[in-house]
Amino acid sequence: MSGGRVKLSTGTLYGALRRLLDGAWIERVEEDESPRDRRPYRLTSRGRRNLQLEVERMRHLTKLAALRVARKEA
Amino acid sequence: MLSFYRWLLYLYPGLYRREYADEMVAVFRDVQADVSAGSFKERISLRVREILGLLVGAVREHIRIITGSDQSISFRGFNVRSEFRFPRSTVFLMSIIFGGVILAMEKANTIQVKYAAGAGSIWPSLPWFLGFTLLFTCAAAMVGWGILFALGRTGTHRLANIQAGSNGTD
Repeated sequence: MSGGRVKLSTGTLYGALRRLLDGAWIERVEEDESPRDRRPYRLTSRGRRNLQLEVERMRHLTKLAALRVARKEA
Repeated sequence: MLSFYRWLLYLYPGLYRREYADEMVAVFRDVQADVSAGSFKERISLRVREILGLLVGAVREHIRIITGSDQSISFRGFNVRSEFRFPRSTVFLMSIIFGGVILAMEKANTIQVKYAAGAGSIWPSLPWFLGFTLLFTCAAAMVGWGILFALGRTGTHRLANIQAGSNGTD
């Protein structure tokens, strides 16, 4: 997804997953046939809303950065 | 490496381990298989990253249990939140540790006096002692820096801040 730039360790990944679960941003998808070591997760409505807010925040940041760069180049 | 990885998982709190250990081992096994065909540098990099990730993760989970909060301590800024309170059990444990340190110092003093009366100092020589102390300090600083660097690289502290912000708006 990041083209190899971001490399998460499993310790970091599951720490983040635990916090996302605690904050009800994501939830486990309960599937009868899924093994214990392969449990899928999905975004909750709250998580989706927060993700949209974060995407919006990052879009705003990149817009500001682009403006600043353009101003310097002008 | 897989057995060492499983062993490191015992550093986590029991509840966390029961909940996530199987998944973590499975994911690690997949990542290891992906990297097995890679270069020596990639394999070493994976191992260092995983070991550091587990150590940092275990410390974070224990701190979370002790403080009852994810955002109580900011590693980057070294600042403690104003509402941060040590639980009573921490004060009790710290008193025991403090007592242990005092006892160890007393014992060390007794041993030193005993050796001084006989064969001289317990330290081989002052330069060796200073060298050892310097090496130990450098190693401790590097480990501390490594943990802070890993925390900064992952951006998990920023994720936690976002979460805290959104919880406030909900």
